Amino acid sequence: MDDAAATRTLDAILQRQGIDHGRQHALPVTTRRICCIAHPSAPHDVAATNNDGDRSMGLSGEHLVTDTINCRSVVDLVGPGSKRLAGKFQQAWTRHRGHYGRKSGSASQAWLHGRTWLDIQAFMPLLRMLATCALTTMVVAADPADIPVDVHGFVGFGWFRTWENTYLVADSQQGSTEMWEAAVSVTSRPMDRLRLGVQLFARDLGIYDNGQPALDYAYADWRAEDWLGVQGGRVRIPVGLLQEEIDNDTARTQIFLPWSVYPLRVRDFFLAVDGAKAYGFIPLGGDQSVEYTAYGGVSTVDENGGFAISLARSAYGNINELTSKRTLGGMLHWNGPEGLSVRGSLWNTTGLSVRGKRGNVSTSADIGQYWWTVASLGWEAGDVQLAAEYSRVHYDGTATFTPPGIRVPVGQNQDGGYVSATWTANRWLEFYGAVEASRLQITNEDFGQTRALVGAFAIRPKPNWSLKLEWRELRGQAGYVTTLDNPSGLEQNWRMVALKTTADF
Amino acid sequence: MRPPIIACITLLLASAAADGAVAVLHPDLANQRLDRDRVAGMLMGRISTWSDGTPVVVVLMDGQAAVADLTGREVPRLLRGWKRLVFSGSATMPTQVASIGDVVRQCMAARGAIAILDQPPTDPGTALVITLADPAP
Repeated sequence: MDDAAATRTLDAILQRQGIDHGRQHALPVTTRRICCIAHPSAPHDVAATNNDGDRSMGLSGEHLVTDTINCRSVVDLVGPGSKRLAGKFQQAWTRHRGHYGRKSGSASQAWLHGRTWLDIQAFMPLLRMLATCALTTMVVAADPADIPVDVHGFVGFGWFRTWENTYLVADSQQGSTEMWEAAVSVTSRPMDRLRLGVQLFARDLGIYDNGQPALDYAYADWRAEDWLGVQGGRVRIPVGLLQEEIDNDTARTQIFLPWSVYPLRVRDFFLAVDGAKAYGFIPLGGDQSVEYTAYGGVSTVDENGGFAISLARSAYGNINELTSKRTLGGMLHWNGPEGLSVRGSLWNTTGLSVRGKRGNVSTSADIGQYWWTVASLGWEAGDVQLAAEYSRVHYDGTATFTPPGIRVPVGQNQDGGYVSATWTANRWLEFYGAVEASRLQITNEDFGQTRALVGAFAIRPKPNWSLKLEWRELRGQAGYVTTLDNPSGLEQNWRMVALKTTADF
Repeated sequence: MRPPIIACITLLLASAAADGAVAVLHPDLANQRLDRDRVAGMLMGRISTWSDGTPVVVVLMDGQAAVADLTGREVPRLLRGWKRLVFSGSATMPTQVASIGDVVRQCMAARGAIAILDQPPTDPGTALVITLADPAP
């Protein structure tokens, strides 16, 4: 059953029940469920209302799925009387899953976006930015031959396997090598107080990002004083203790940042802003100091990136517009005595707008305010480091599907946290352990509805080369696994093992 | 002829393990004021310019206990923190060297260079060498 057929079938259902498409919000709960399942012809676990008829349509991704219903089949929602119809929907969605779940690469990208690797238009913003940086460097330096330039980079390759549930890629339960990342950064300090930098980054994480090169940052930085620096351009932003190192696992022991706080699949949305930030370092004496960052700009995300793919996999189909009006936020960090540190982070995006097309259905979502806050606590004592963080995500908005003109509220009030310990046994061996917990809706679930026990170790044969193993034992699925990838149903208890090697220069 | 070490340069380190430890600086940094917090801030990438705007160039040599005394981190772990800064667009990577001679050469050549060593170099050339003292009681 294709999208058009699904739509026609839905129309028939609605007609039988005498439902006015344009007044979906007034429908009885049971009917509303059917609308939400069928019309976007989307995965039922992320596109269905909950049993209360409360906030319903999910967007996708760790921070966007809302009120996921982990029903094992469409029959659970439409009822036994519609079993035959449910079976058809199930088949359609299974095929849909096959579309997204197949080996990622240029073919699937072309299918998703009508664009190929050779499409130069995709690289024009990057080229413009590089040209600007190069030109700036040339202008400010009296003798370009004297400009000091630092080039660094890293490349990491990994393998992962899941048990009981499929995650990130269709063949994850057989083991997948679709996990690599690479970056090259160029920095220069052509004159006193001024630093210029640009970094290109690419990664493949299952079906996400698919090796698409992205401009991670491109900035001009002016450090007026220790307590005041200003950076403009495309600038990376700090959220929590670890967001800035999300790509570079050489700086940590474990392979993945805690899933309960840091979004794994939609990194591009929370990574940087096109705008500016102010930052500084203020010593307080007695080994204590304060660091701060305040930023503002626009969160620009690639329509081929992980965030867009997450949206495409939920209710919104091919994403052809993904914009936001502005992003504001900041971080305040206190380095206290005896290795203690405390950090508070705030991230806010206004006017997030999503426009997509699923078959002949135009999809859209408009989120007024999107908040992400993180409270962090760290402690370092010699070879042992402890960290604890608590994260909360909140947004509200509406989604529209036309035809038939269904408008549904979307929203989320999610939280998560973790406690971790890292022990540096010696110069070449480190161990990491953590307990993570999260929930998708604070009002409906107990904290820790989804939780994970994580263990990892890293061997560093050389200072710039690491070999790592990470094991995750999980209970619950919130925001991680969906029936889109597991059509036969989700298992409550599942696990993941990952291996990775990374080198940098 | 080596420039005189100006009296305003004071480098105060509390740890007894840092006895004999020195800071090696580029000759142009004679007028800079230093204290323990500021040196630690430079070694950890939080302070990136001297007071006159000259960019700080951190020169790191592995195995120097004085670096760990100041920052709480041995050089390999300190460098991992620097990688986090560099790959998030917040810093320029320190210069890593393998010998005392390379430390001195880097500190003579690079404006704004600072290195911390456990012992004074036998041949400092034109680089400034500041003996690290315990803080005044």
